[in-house]
Amino acid sequence: MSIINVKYVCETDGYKIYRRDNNNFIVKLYDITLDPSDEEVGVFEYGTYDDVTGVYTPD
Amino acid sequence: MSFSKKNGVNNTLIKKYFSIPKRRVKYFKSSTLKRKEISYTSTTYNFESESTSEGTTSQWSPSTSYNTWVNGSSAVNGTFWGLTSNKTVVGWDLGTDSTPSSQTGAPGGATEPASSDNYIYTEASSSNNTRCFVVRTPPFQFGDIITYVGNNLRLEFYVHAYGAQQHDLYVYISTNSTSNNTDATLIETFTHSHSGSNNGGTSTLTKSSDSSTYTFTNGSNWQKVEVDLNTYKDDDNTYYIYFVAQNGTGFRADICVDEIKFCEENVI
Repeated sequence: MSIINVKYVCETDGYKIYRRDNNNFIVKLYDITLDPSDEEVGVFEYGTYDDVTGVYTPD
Repeated sequence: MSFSKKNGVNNTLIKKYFSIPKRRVKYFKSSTLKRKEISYTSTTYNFESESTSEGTTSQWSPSTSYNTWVNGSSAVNGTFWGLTSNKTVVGWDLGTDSTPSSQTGAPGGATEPASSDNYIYTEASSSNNTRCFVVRTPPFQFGDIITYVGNNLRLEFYVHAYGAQQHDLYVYISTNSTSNNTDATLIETFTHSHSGSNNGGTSTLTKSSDSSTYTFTNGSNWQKVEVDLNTYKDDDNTYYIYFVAQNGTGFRADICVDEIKFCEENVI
């Protein structure tokens, strides 16, 4: 079991999780299709990700 | 035999007892009922058996267990609900942990917010905040389920309304299985306001009937709210409750509802 500090970001094709320390992509949690001009694109927050259960928890 | 206030039965109730069909008059000795206890609770609708739907183009599709619920435009008589303007009607989504968008929504359902626990919510991303979200309950005949007409009958549910651009929530009642703002009766409004930044701050719902306030922060607990149904407790009609949400101003408008039930509270 590994709890990773992550960044949760909304992008045009989904909500994705990146490692906070090196910005490496981990997983896409939800699919979505957004216009690049959508106000939600680029909105992010920090949290933790359990790579065993696949659960993301916001800080 | 005569009744008087001295006997603990007021004149209004005496009139009610003698003007309604006897089969629905339910007498209890006052000594058997304790003040403010709950004497009847309906099924609690917590959506645990339901499949999640957290997309912007698809909504919760009730399973066999919830097949007397109707979600979305199928619950509307006509094209629009028509509260303040003709907004496109959509159904509520069904989530189980946090909603996809950050800065809005609940951390999980009302029962066990820290784990997978289902609830319904308004998915506001991709400009869905401009729409009107409608879902209705199964039919209820309150006159048959209440045990004593002198008691209070209310709708209870949990709500989570965090988000700077959050919807207002409206609760309607109607005898019609499809309805709209014209033929349903608006029985409660929860109006949203927000203080602080979009990424943080505090959201507040204000209940119109008594100005009660319910506050929410990111990841905070759900709040239980009550809607008075006393007007409908002594009635042979079949009623449906409609949950309607609209007026969100952006994607931070995932309002969440869970644990819906009807309760009868003893007043004697």
